[in-house]
Amino acid sequence: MNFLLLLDRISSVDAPSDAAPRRDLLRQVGQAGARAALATLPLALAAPAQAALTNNAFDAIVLLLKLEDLLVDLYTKALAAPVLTSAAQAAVRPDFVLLLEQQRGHARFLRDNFSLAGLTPPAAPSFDFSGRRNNPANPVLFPDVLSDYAAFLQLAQQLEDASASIYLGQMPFLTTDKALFDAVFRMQLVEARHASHLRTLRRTAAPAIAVKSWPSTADPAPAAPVLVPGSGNGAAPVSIYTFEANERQISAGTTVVPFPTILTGLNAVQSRSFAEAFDEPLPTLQATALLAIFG
Amino acid sequence: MSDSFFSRSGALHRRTFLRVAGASAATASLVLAGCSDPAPAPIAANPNLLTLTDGDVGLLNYLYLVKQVQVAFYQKVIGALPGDFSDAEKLSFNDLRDHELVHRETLRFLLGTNAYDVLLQQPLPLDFSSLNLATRAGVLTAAQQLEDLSVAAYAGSLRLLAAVPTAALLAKIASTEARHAAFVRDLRTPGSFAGTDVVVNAGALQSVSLAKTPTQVIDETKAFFLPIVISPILLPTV
Repeated sequence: MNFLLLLDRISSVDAPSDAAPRRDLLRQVGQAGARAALATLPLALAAPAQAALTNNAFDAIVLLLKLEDLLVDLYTKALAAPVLTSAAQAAVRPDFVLLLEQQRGHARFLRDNFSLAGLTPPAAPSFDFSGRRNNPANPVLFPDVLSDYAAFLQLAQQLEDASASIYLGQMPFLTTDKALFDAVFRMQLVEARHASHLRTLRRTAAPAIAVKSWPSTADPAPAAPVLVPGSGNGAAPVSIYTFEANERQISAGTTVVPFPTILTGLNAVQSRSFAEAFDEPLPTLQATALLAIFG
Repeated sequence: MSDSFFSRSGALHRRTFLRVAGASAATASLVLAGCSDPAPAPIAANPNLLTLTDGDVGLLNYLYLVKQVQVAFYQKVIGALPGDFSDAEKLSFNDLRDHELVHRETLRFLLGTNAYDVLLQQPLPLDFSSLNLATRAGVLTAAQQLEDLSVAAYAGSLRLLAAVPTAALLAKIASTEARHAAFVRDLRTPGSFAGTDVVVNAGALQSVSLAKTPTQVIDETKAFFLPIVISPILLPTV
């Protein structure tokens, strides 16, 4: 019997309600042919920096898994480091235990998609949160992340904001499988809750940083920004929040929702709300580059 | 239908009207035909029944109704926030109201002439008398309830949409709703941003957002719409 067909049958017998996403991932892998073999190699070998961005469901799950592995590693290291073992942070420590637990849940779900398809999931890379890319000769981009609470929160906020955006950017590649789309979207909503909480923690820490709980053009820019490639060839690197400043929403085709005309009179709002009211996707190119900063 | 809100307000949206009128006409013709099978008793149509249509239009009208509740709620409480709200909290509530307004008008724009209330002369009246809005705790409790419900509504309906670009735009709205929900929860109880009452905490879907079906959400909001009754019976379920 065809190996993939066999797996398909096993998964439909075992778990009728949860099997669908895995079966579809299987189909994606089948269509991708040789990609299946690549998946069993360590990620570093399988996905060289110059790999083409193909934007299919398989690549989307690989990307999201690396993102979740990154967040799991950040909270695992922080909970074992002075930044969160210090008595000064005893009150917020349970928040990070919960964040870690929920990121682990997401990573487990994504990893199970590989295992149930008979593929070896990519192993988590060795992450380096200093920004030196595991090379002591490189400059430190994010100093004191695991020893200074303010520095830690600043990076964690950016990574959780980016996480909500990276999920939004990958969801369009998962629309052919409703069950997988549904699960990934519902993970995205939890990431957005996390990002909101990190921002609340920064606002209530000492010294307080006056960020809102949603990305806003009124936010103070991070002192140690996470930079990603700008849009367009050869564009200078930009903060992830460049994408969040978007004030144009497309309703269908090329039709732009005309905020300036529909939000007047009784419906008038603060103009920065045009951007604040929507979280924005981070495109695959930027998402991939962001993850490569850390591992 | 002379007593219904819709007829008083001007005009019931044509599609909705046809759903109600069509059902009555079918019943009537059965009776008139005097068929030999036991005739079903004529069903009295509820003149205040708003039956959402099927497909994306029905789903968008459903999300539009939820959004109308949120906007009306913030507009009501911001005019009279209890005195123990801090200045910073008051400013945050202005932001929440503005975001909800942007969302509502975006949904209205997406619906165009398919909005259920496009021909109504006045907006649907909403009744918040079931909420305690006299204290900070009461306002935060109500705000949390509505924001968490909104997140669960998107979590339970986005997969039902046929149009991918619409789903992509609504996901951006839903993400902001999740930020709102976590913000209000943290105001009420610090650290409750993603509690087990809003995040699945067991099984294969552990750690994903709680989702509610349109039927569940409409049931939890029905007190706000009375005497109007909203029926999700024609909305997609898969």
